[in-house]
Amino acid sequence: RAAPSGQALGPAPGLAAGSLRICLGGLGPKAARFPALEKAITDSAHGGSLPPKETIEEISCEHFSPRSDARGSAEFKRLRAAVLLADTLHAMEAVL
Amino acid sequence: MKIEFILNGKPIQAECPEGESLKSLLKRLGMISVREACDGEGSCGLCTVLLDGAAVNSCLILAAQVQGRDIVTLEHYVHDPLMRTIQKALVDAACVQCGYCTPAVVLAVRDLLSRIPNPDDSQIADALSGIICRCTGYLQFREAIRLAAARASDPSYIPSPPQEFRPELRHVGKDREKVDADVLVRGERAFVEDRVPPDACWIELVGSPFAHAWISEIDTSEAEAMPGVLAVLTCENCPPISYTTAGQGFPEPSPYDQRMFPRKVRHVGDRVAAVLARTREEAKAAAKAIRVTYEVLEPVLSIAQAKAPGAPVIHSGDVSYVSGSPPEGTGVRGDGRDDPVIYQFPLHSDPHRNLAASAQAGIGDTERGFAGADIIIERSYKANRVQSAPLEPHTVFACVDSSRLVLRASTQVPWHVRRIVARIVGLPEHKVRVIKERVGGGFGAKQDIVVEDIAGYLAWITRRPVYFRYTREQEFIASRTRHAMEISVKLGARRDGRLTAILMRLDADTGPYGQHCLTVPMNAISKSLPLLLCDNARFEVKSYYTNLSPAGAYQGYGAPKGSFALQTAMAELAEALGMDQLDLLEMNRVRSGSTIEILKSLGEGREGSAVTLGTCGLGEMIARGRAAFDWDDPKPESPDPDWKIGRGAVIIQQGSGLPGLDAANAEIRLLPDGTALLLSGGADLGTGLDTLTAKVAAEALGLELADISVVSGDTDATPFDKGAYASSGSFFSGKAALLAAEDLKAKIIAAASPLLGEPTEDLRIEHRGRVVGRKGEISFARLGHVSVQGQGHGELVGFGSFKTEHAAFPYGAHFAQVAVNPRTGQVRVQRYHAYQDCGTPINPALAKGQIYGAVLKSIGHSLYEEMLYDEAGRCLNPRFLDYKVPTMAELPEDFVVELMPVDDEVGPYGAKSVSEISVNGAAPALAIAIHDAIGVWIREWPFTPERILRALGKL
Repeated sequence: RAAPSGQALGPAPGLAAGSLRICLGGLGPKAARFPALEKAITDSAHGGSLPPKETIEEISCEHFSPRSDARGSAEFKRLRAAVLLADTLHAMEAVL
Repeated sequence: MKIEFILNGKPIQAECPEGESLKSLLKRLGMISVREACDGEGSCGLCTVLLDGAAVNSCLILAAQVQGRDIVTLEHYVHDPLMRTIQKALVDAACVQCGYCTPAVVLAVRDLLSRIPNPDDSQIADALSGIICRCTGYLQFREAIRLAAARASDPSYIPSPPQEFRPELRHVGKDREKVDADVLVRGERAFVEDRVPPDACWIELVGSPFAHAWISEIDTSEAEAMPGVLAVLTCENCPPISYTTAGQGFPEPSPYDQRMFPRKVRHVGDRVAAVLARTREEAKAAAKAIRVTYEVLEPVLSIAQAKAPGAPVIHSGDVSYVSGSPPEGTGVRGDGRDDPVIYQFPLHSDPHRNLAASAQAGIGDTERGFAGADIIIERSYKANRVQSAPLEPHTVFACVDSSRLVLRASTQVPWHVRRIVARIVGLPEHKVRVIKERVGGGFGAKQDIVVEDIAGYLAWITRRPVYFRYTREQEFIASRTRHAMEISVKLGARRDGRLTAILMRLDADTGPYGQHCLTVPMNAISKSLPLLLCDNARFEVKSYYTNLSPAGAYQGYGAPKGSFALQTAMAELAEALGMDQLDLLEMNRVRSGSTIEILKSLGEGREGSAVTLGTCGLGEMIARGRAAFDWDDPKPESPDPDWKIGRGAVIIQQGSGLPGLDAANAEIRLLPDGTALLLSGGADLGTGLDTLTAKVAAEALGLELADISVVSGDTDATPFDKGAYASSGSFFSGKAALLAAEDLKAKIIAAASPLLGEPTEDLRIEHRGRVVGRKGEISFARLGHVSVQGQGHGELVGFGSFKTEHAAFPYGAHFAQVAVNPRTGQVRVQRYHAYQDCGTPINPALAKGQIYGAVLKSIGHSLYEEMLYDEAGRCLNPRFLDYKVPTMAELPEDFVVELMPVDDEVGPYGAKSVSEISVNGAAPALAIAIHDAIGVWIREWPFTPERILRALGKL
């Protein structure tokens, strides 16, 4: 079954304000950017480093309002997207 | 528009309408190797061709796009050395089962090897993951590609010798080329679609948009007047005959609750009308012009709804019994409007309460057994509808030839097709001929008469050649699916783990019609309960009508769901007892010499009897799995904290045909040149049955495989066979072939005796085709010649007819290791080992290929395959883009099949069945492994990420 997919641009070394772009698909009819979430995650960064995965998941969930369909319930998609985002951001941090 | 391109090395000019796909153009140009299974969605890969040397899905390329380009189909390569190397490697590695995907695989391998001469496993998976194969389980493709790569660089390369069995035999137990493999790997004419002449007329089916509705008015006048239309069939003018589509032995244990077109539609996609027209376009246009007025009824979309008091009644016609009386308290008088329901004999049913069939029985005293238990657990399991998804959908070509109705069919049951279609059309059976072509996957779905009745009837009344082929969507919603089931298991045990009582209660959802309504759910019991020895065991089975897609036969035939429930419950009991789950199974399982009392209550439509087992391979198979998985050591540590590792093990069983009910026949003729023609009733649906029958006959007669041709599954040319179902092929059809060969052998010796002037007891048959005595010898060729020249014996023909009361149970032990991510709910199958006791493996590599295929299918069923429905009963995912089936990308990392030969005293050369059983293990093995990994029991199949997260309390 299709799971939410997406990508995040940034963070550059050190999570500076305005440097994070988050775009996710699979949560609605088309892929969308989440500027408020970008700000929330940036605001929660301490000393330019990412918050832990659990915090990102917690922050993210309230920004996603997917619809239930044959591919999954709204709550499943919300959680799945939050985990995906947390994993992606941490993987990028490791690379950068 | 006109386009020019190079096709198979020759310049081509073609006229094609705008928007036509390359696939459609190539099929018009007669390229039969270009197959299709997804109706142009681009998800199956079967229409693969090479475009400027690269493999592409021709359905996703517009014909106009190939202007000036180079297209190659498999037809191009008749003598090409590299292609012959690839094809031979695929055959040698047993990658050709039904063969419907094979042309695409051959081209994809060609593309891969031309880019990467020695690809690794991930490059192989990447190259082949766009092609769906439902038979093989893909693993042997790796071996074939390595073999092709090695032979391409070194033609004298000899691979390491394969595993062989029964050293005293020449063919049995050794790998031999599958008899139909060369035709299939070359993409030559083999399937129904390859036999359809250009003037064949087309059937277009009008399906119901509603799950439950009366057809109150149907107006076909406009459609009938449209160009090209030859006939329109509806409930108003179809034969007034009730039947079951189940291709089971007559009298069938399935109610006759269907007419060709019902007055009341009972599922989305149910038959409303069929149009026969000269072309597909004309048939489609006329189908759209049929006006139907429906009186929509409330649908029944679950077992709970079906059995609720006051539920809508799905079959409200008269109920009658050919023999026996209605069960007490059940309704028989219909509403005067609906079609009748006719039972051949009582199945403890009550159709007016949506109960299609029921059964209950047991041994011992379960109440006393539970009273004597130290611990009792009771758990409920649910398993949803899945689709067998044969890549070649249901298809048939029907015509009238010499005043007889001839059906070229893709079927598992030629003789049942003949019987059922003859009755519907109103012909004696001698007026109907059914020829089973190569079958592009059946898996049980082609045990039912899904398209042959309409096509046969229309061909007969119009005297036109008629072609009928389901679309993929029809295959999902209107062929046959695996019954959904809800099973509760109550187990009682002493503190040491010994079982004191078992109670299994099973509710099945048979869908709108009752084909296999009793036998599938009963098989869920009869292939799971007898694995455990317990003096007090009882079962209750109920099968309900609903308005979801029709259920029917699918490999395993209920057993995968019974196995899921009982094996998982045993692991739950082990947890409650604080025991190792495998130790608990070991303590309670059947073993060599066990007397299986529960079989007294599990007769297949008749009185059962207890069976004392001969040799059972379970002990050895469990020991092998224990060793391979270091079972007694702690499970492996996961290197990634997000992924948790768990292990599970199960024991499984099936049957080998139906003792006392099934029958198979074969005939073998010695030809004047000393070779033989084997006429087998068996229906090879890609499994290799024709190869098996040829091998046992060659073994018995001292011939080579090259000396025997097999003609099979043709109701004119070959003798009766019950068909390919219930794991009966190797055991029944194989044994009939062996008996025929032994009969011919005796006749050969009798005929040779006067010619050699020696008594028969002094004569023996020697390889290759010789009768040798003390003084002289005579060749089969000489005997064959003499016998048809008016001298001696007359034509030498052997006959074999096989029936038995002997039950040959194949057993298996399956071990799985999974990694589960509790943050995402994802499951990865890291290891899967299937140990199978199949008696003597007649074709080891082909047997393994069937097991790989069955296991991978069942991993798909367990983890992601599920037919989903909306609140109106419409299937939401009737296509491969939305219904995920395993591809090569889903192979377990460590995927092993081991054959454990255990002799069966009745089967041909000791063979038992091999393939069907192998779908029974994955669901419980994976459920147990998931629990071992993350500590939660997932009791609903499939185990999707969402269900796992829910069980973890994260949703």
